[in-house]
Amino acid sequence: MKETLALEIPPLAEFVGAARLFVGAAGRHFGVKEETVSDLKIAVSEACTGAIAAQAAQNGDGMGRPVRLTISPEDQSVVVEVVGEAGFWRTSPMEGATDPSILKNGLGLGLVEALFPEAQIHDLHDGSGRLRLTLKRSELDSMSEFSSDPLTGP
Amino acid sequence: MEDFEVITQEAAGDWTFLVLSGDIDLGTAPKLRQAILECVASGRNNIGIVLEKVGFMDSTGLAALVGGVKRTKENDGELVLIKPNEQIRRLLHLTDLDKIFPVYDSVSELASSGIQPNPQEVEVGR
Repeated sequence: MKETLALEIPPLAEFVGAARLFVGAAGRHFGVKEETVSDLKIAVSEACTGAIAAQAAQNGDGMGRPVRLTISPEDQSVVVEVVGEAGFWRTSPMEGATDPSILKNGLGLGLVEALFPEAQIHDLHDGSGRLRLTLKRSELDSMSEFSSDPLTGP
Repeated sequence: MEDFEVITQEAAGDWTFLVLSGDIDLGTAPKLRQAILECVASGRNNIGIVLEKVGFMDSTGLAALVGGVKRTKENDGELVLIKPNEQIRRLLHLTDLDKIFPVYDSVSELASSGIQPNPQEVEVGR
């Protein structure tokens, strides 16, 4: 039985830390290596920042679409998704990193792609946007979560 | 995750040290930005940001620091980072910002670099 862990936060700055805690704990639960957990926290923090900034730009702080995080095992890998207001990835390019006004809402895609070159970003039909990170075997400590089912055994 | 806090501001010679704790992100970076601005507004333009107790920083924290570099340089001062953890060092490296921030492992190292403060006057991590 595949297990998916999920967290939904309101699009408010004070919940970004909760998102990081969740992805850290969930990542470790699925055997993600500690160094990858650290990068995952940065990516999720950037994603939530971008989603919250996009939401605030459209609707005002805290109103509208929540940010949803999921993490689940899939075919010898672990998939992490962040879904929030569409457009949250069209934020700052990395080359603007020395300009504080550009950095204000996070580096978004530039930094995430530096950490996870195979990151996938899509706008969805319902007006939301999705970041999808697929962590492969080399980024996982243990495959025990995949080799046995807690209900049926190995 | 700890709440972000500027736990002390210590002046030593021409330098002011902001000793931070907690995480720096979208929710807390404005406090850091404000603390730096207050220093510069009161004429304290050489600022050491002590990061020993900061567990996490994302690019919104970098923005506050880059803004601080800009403000201090405009006033013939300097902003340096002291004892960032591996996560923050990695972030600085990924964004190439390690080229604009002087990074020191301790206040003593900063002091030994030349015109710097007396480290005895600074209590880090109080």
